[in-house]
Amino acid sequence: MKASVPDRICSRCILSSSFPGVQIGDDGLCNVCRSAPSIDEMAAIRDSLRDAMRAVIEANRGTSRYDCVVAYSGGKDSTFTLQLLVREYGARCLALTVDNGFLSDQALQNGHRVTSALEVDFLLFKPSPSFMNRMYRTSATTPGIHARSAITRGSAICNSCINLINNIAVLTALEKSIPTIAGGYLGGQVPKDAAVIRIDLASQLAARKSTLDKYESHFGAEARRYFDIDPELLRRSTLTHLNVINPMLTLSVSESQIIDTIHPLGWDRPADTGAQSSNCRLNDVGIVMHHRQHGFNPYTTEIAEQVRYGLMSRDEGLRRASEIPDPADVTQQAMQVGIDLNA
Amino acid sequence: MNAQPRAAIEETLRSFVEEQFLVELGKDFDRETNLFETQIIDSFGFVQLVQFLEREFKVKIQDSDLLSGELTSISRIANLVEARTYEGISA
Repeated sequence: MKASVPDRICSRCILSSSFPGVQIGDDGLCNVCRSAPSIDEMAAIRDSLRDAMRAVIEANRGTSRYDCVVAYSGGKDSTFTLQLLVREYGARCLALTVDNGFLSDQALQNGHRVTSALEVDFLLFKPSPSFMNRMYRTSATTPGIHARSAITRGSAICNSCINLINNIAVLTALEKSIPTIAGGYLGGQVPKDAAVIRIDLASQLAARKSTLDKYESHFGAEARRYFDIDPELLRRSTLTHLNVINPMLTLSVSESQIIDTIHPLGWDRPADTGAQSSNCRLNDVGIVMHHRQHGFNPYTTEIAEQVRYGLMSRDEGLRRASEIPDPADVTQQAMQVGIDLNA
Repeated sequence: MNAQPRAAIEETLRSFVEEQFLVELGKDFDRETNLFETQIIDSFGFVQLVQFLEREFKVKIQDSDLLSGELTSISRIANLVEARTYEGISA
């Protein structure tokens, strides 16, 4: 019998030796912390990313009716992102909310209030419920739909939903000739280099063929309606490139600072979205399923990054990462998409 | 700037791909495997890959490289890095 190796936890962040790709060295640090920039280096990186982001916004300002389409979930991070772009960068934003069928009423109300307070145009897109439910069910119960490394970024449910929302944002930008898409990603959710990206649309189209085929085989033919980009739309568009910006990756801001900033805009935390999400009632189902399948909270990387850079205490990080929702509390949402948590 | 030997470039790429994308050479992929078609690398991973190449090897990745298929496997990426490094030295 193989001797079990005791789980070790990094002395700086919260990553453990059982987390995919993590090794703890003799110095007690994980390989992520060892290779991560120091707090000062990270501050300099953020400054440089912020300059690059500002340059992108300035270079494209006024070239279209909107400077930016913001993937706006109504949650705290995308709300902070939206107000930042409007108030600090003076960007003319179109807020795009995708109602996945599990958007909290409070989150939708927050969306209405915040966009009104900021005088921002607000677009609501609601995909077919039967498709969304099938996508969620299949994502949560079928291994291998996403790249293996995606398990360190989020649950399979979240990864599918994020990919769909990203594509709806791209389609909206193309249809309305908006040069830039903004997201509300935090450090740890995506690579920090994702703060400012320029994507060539033709190469994107070519690169995603295998992903699209996979989604179609798993989610059904309707997947093309939400994940595909019609080459004709691309041909007609005045855009050959899109800029993707994630302003939160250029900042060091704690959750309490975020809430303090957005609360005066009329934003209130929903009570029905679990500990991690501030917009989605299905999120906890994703966490439960992910924890069962992989043995860790899908928010671990994000929490570790916040602890690493002093935005959350290590004790708080460890507590949050160990908080797995009680399946009994999310049975109804799970059943709605066809997942039996008792199976 | 000194050009790295081909074997060192491939070794650096292997190590990056294994660590970032949680796969193992010989088990999940080989040097000719298309890392995108096999979905070892997704769109977020692609951002990481480009930034890694630019930072680690000091090469500039062009839009045309994305369409050319030169960034799909360890072997092809190493070809591109070798060619760009050589261009950089001879320029």
